[in-house]
Amino acid sequence: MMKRNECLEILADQLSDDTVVVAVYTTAFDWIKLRPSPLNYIFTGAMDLASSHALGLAIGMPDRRVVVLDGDGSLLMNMGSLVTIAGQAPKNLIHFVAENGTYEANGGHAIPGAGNADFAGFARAAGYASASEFSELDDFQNGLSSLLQAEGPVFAALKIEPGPPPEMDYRMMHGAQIRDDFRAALK
Amino acid sequence: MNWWQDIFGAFKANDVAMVAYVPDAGHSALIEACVADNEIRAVPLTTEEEGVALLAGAWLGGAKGVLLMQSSGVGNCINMLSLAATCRFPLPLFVTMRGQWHEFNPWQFPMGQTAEAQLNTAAVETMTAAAAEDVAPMAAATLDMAYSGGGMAALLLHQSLSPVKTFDQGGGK
Repeated sequence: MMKRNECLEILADQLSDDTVVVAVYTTAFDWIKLRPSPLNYIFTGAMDLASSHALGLAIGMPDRRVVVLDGDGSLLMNMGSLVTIAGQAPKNLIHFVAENGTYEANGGHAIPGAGNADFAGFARAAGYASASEFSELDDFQNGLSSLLQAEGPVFAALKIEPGPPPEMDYRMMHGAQIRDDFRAALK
Repeated sequence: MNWWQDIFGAFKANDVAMVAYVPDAGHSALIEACVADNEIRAVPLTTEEEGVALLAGAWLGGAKGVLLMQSSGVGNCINMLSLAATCRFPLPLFVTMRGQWHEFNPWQFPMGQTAEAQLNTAAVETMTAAAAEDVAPMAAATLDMAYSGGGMAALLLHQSLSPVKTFDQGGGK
């Protein structure tokens, strides 16, 4: 089993500077510390729509890589987006799901089907170009570069246990300045 | 006694057999009590609207149910509430409110401000428990309005009833 922050550290090392990253909730707080960038898209609001935000960005910017850092509970609330994404088939979209089996930010209760549901299987069945899962950090480190270069939509489930709780300062998560910086960085 | 124990007591007094939920930290202790109770089927959901249909089916099969959520979950239910409204399925909702009291997450403000109005527009009766002593009578009234009155009723649990969450404490959604 991996820790989320360890996975994110590896991802931050290998990701190109011009990649747009859509990150949800607890993952977002970890991510923006590891990879401060105006291209971190952290305006996901309601918990389920990160994948849909990412699809819109990927379609709107076909020349950029768009990475979404989703959660298992978040994706469960919007499972249909797997089919929508596969139907649109954006070659530049990479969809990671941090799978810890809990609604971590809401009190830590188990998600439905925790431990039984096969998220990579869902994505594969929906029609993603590729879908894989990782539960060992070495495997993730070794496999990541080919994932990042593969033709999308690419899906990868990361089997994780909760890491140390991040500092959750929502002032880092909203505000007109962050929004404007994101827009400017896309130009 | 904590206010959540008053809600749990009202569930038991009404022979509630199914508790469906998308969790909120404010409902944590209640959810854990329901999970541990042998006479209650606790059902975690992927989205709150599932619970509206689930409880309709449960009631048709003879089981009383309740649906737990936080205020943002109200927004996920609106369309599905037409099922309970049209078919007159009893539907008690217990909603932990956000966006009201020391809220640290700006994304919780919009549904905190509009959940009650949206429920009322969707024909759900609402009452708000703003103090711990309100909870027991209002929980009983909410269940009665649903099961005896055959309607939709929501008890909104003011955020001041829940521990104040701050980002210094790790926060949460």
